[in-house]
Amino acid sequence: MHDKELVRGTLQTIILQLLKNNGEMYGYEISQKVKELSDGKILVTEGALYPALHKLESEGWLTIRKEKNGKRVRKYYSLTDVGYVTVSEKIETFRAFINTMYSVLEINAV
Amino acid sequence: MQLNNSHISFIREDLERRGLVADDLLDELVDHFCEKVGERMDGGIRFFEAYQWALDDFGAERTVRMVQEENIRITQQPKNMLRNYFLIAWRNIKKQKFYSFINIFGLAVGIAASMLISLYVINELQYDNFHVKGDRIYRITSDIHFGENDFNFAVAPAPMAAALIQDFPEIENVVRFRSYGSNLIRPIDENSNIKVDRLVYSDSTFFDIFSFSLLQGNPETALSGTNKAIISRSTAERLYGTIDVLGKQVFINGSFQAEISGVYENMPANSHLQFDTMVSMETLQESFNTIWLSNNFYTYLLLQEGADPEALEAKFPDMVERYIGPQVKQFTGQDFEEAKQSGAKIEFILQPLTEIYLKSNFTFDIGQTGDIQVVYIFSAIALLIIVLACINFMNLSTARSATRAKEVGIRKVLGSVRPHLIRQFLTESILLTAISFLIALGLASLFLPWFNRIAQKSLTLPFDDPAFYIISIGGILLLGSGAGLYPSLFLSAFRPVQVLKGKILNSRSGTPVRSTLVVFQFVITIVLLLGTAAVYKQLDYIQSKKLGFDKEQVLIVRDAYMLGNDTDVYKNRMLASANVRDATLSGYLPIEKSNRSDMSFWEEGKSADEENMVNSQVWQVDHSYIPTLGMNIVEGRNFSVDFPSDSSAVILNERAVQAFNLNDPVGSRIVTLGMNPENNEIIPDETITFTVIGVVEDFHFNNMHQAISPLMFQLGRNEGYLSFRFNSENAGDVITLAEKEWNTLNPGTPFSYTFLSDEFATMYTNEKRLGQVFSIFAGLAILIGCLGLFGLATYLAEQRTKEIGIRKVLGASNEKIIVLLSRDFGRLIIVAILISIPLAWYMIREWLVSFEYKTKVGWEIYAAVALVAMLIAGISILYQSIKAALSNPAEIIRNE
Repeated sequence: MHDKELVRGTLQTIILQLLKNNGEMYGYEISQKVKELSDGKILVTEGALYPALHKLESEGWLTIRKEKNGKRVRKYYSLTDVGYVTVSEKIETFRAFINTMYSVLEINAV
Repeated sequence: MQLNNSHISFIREDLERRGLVADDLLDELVDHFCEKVGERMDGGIRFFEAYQWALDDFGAERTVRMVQEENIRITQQPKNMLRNYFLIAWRNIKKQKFYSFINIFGLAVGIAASMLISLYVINELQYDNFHVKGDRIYRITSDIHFGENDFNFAVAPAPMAAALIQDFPEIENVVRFRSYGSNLIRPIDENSNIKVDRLVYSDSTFFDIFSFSLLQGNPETALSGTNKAIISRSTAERLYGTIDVLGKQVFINGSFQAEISGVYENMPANSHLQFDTMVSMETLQESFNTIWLSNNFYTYLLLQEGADPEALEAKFPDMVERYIGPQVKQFTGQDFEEAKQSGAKIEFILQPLTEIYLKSNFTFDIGQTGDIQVVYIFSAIALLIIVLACINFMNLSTARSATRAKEVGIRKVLGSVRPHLIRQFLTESILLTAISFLIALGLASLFLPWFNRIAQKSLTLPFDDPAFYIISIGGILLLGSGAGLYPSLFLSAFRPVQVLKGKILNSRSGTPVRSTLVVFQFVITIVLLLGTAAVYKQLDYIQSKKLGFDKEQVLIVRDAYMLGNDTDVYKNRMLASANVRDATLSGYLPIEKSNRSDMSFWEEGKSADEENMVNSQVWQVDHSYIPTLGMNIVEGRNFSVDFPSDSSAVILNERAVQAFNLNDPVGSRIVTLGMNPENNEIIPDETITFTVIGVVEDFHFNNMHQAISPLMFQLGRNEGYLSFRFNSENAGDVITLAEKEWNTLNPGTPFSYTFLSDEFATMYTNEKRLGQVFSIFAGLAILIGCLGLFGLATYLAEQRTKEIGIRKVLGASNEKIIVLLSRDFGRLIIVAILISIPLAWYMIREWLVSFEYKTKVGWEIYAAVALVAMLIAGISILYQSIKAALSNPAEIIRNE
């Protein structure tokens, strides 16, 4: 798997989990939070973030709310009920995958 | 740190210029960058550097466009595509409430107006379409030229019907109608008459040809025999309160009795035949008349299946030779051949049933007729208004949807983005159109009752007709995509003409297509204004033209013959009142619904041939006719009781004197054929001679479409109307007295009156209606045009705020700015004026041609309208120009 592929597959999980834990957030806020949680390491480029957000919305896992602020329009994302359910599934899938990888690679959790 | 508006605008335009043109995504990324830049500026960096950094960090222009393409790909996924486009379209519409409102309102008004007109036009086109045998039904019309006279009649000679059936096997059936104006009916055992305006005598074959339903009675026999009558449902209810009236006896016109042999359903509104009562033809002596030289009977025929009307028509000249030729010789002494060689013509033409309502243009007709010209005009107007509304729509959409930065950005994007933009824009157009359509439905419903009143119809919106919905939806799609197509192509950078000319797209009003649209809009408006002015001027002319008689203050009492022996008593009682100055008894009046009668004369001593025969109106009047009606004797004298010889005297009008070629009219003698008054049959070999004792000034007795024709007055007792000239202040008293005396002398007959001036006015209802309609649509056109112009001017002024600011800083005065902004539009208006004036002049002239007596539409009218147009445009533009010019330049520059 390519680096980018790895990140993209997990990007959706990251976004979903963040929204589950923090409620409603807007794009820039999400990118800043990821940066903060990953200790400043470049995990999510902004260029990848927005397509992922839009895809999640079109799948019906996120819903949006727009707020006007003068000349700016802020778009807030939040989980739908379906999205909420999906988060746990995705986390589980990810956990299972990591465990399998550990077994296959015959290494221990770090 | 919070960015100020000019920062935000800068970021927005920069992103647009770099190719970020999808509105929704643009907003989101603008917000993103504002946050990012703001944070950077908190660290002390200045705006431009902070933004440059933020863009690089994001991934530069390339990444921005990549995000957009991904976004579009997601939007276009089939499962949500329509919903996505719809949502963004809706959002955009709300975002620009002002322009959306103008667009929607203008379009809604246009659609509503067109809807109403379409209802009217469709209704007019559907007359007489319910007759099962309708495609085989024709009417005989005549085209006659004899002597000095031209006749175009919808009537035929009495004996023609029988001859047709006998001589032409391709004719299956034939029916005649004879109408005599207004009639009075009462049940035999009652005293009160009711007035029946539409009574005809009809042959018994009526139901074999036309599809009307007989509720009571036998269609085969109801009109056979003498003294039988069938009545409509409403007539039955007026007379008896029920339709169960078979066999009852009625008294008609105080002169004969008839048995009710049938009751028929009221004739539908879209039938040109409208009869309240029908009496069997055999009751009428005149129907057995064998004279082919007088035309009084409406004659309809039913062709056999497969028969060719043209072939039949080709046989008519033969019929004319056979029947009319000998009678011409008999009555005028001249050979028919000779007469034809000096220009006489007698032709009969078949008129299809379906053409009767709209295409009849005869001197008088059996009922109301429409006018195909009006249908054409109305359809054209409906189309024009829709076109106007669409033009506005296009102009406004084009202007507001493309900022300069966005145009640059559009040229940079990949092929996948442009179709998206087009689809987006079309969705918006169609959505706007759909909303407009719904509002239009509301407007149309609101104004329908008022429109019905003007148009004198009872139209309804066909909500229960599936075709209505199909056409509506089709219309919305067509209109929406059509109106949105130009802007969407424009937006998607498809400008072959511009490219060819090497022009660079800019949003100034100089864009060629948009300019053309503005010009076109104003041409329509100006032409409509001029048309309205012309119609009203002609109406005014008609109203105030010298008529040759005084139409004011004359009371007309109808059905005077019902007074019988008391007629003179009534007249004298009225004259006894101080308010009544003069009275006359005659059914012949210079208004439409009165008697007309014509005869042919020649000057004594000359031969009775084509050259010398003059067909003239002959009106039976009494001694006080001319003074009561305020006519002028210009030569000789009026009839007088002092001269018993006046019983064989006539008074000619000036036109008649001309027609007879009389150098010294008073004392001349004219001759005509003897006539049997009972059945209007001409008695050959007998002549009557009259002496001319006076000449009356020409007066109008037809409407102003026709020239005044020869006319003469004879002394005679004709009891159609009693007319009274009264003093103006006491009209009410006069009416009260007239009614009181009437009821005393003749209680069984309803008192019915009118005023000469009112009757005169009804001759021009068509023109009045035309004037009203024109002014309404001119008003609408102006409204739509102004809306569009205003919106356009607003937008363009906003666009040029920066330019204006700079100009002011450089020293331009407010006036100069205003002139600058107005100049472009001003030029367009001038072009529009130059185009519309010759166009309108030509159209007005064509319309006035149909009037024998017409007004002049002088240059001052054109100048006034041009001024009004400039004023309208000026107000629309000026407001914006002034507002822009007065804005503070410093503020504008600072914001950049």
